[in-house]
Amino acid sequence: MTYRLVLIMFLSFLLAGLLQFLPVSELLTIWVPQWVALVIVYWALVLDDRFKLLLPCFIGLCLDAMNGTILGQHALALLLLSFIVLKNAKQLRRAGRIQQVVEVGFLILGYQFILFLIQGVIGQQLTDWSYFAASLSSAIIWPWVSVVLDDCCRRFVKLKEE
Amino acid sequence: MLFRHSTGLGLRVLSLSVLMVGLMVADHHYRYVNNVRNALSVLLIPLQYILNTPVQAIDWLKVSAATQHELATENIRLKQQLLLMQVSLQQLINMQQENSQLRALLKSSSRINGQFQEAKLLAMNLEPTSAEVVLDKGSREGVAIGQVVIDVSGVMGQIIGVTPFTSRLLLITDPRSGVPVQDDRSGFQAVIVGAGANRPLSLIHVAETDDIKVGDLLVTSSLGARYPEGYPIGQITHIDKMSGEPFMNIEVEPSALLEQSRRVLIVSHYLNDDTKKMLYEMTPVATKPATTPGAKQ
Repeated sequence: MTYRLVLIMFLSFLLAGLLQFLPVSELLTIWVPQWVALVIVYWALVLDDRFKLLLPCFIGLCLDAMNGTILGQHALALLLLSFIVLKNAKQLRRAGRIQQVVEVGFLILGYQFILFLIQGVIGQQLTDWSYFAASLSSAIIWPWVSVVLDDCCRRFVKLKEE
Repeated sequence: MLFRHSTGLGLRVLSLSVLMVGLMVADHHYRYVNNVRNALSVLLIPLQYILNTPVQAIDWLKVSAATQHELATENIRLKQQLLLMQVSLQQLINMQQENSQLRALLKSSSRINGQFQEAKLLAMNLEPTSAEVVLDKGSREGVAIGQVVIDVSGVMGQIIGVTPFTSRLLLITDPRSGVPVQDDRSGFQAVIVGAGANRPLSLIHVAETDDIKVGDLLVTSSLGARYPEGYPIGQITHIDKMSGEPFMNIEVEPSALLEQSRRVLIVSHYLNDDTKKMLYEMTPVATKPATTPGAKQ
């Protein structure tokens, strides 16, 4: 069943990438959720011990190549994000829906803050605080992301053998 | 795998983080890892083309939904424009001949006009800090690193990366970009650098005594042999004299519609080899390894 899992993971990241880079109007652009980061959070939460840390690194490098940012920036941010998720996986999984939304919001905020810090260190500092609006929209969209991916997992892969 | 399963999570994360920080330093300071970047860019080509399809679909819808009357009026308008352009082109050709004759008299090398290639921007929603865009022409169409990209109203930037099907354009607003320019009014020369996406450019190392005014148009000077001569870069919008500082703070508004242009032109072969060699020899020895102030590579 593992190849199915790999396929679903691949498709989920592809879809997340498409949604994240989809050209939108000027007004909406700050509200585009951090889809890729959300999907990373989801897989770290679900796979737990089986989650490979090289995955966020590779996905992050792809994001860097896409954005034209220095290589390693998104990779480091995604790596630290998945570390925090893995560390707190139990509490996160047990949390209620509303509680989870708030927690994911703060996780994405932390992720964006790491990106912001690296950007500052290399001297291309953001001046616009609306950049962090994306963490709010990411938190709001989280329940749908997790429900859709849960559903895919239930149909095609038997992840949870309980 | 890199680690045994028993290795602690914290340790694994720490070592990978160190690796990533190392990668960032290598990329930021030395540009050693361009090969990695190119390989990843090739992987991402399909994604970039898929992302462009909604925009293409909207364009196609616009054309197919337009009525014949609209198209006919547009056609007439475009023909009128073409006529006007052709008339002004006649004058231009005359002036160019005169110019090259004068240059021949002065024994200075003649300029070659650039070859232009049309390209389109691939629409993408990149991070707000990014001052790069992706074009739909790549090395298969002869695009090479270092070529300059302009739009209808001015210089946009230069190509910094190519894959077979796409190329990456570094806009002049990026802090890594530097363009040698001259004041169109006074002929004063300086270097213009970017200050980040959506921010005005800044003209650096200009003293208070230099002949620069608000409203001056800056055009590319061909020093550095990268940007072709005479294309508008921007207009000076603000000059700030700071007491105690040797140089002034000068803000420049870019001429090119960096946010709006979707059709651009890639310029190549605008200098003959002699001119390139001459410009290279004129460049001070200290800056020679870089060969050009146009790009810090």
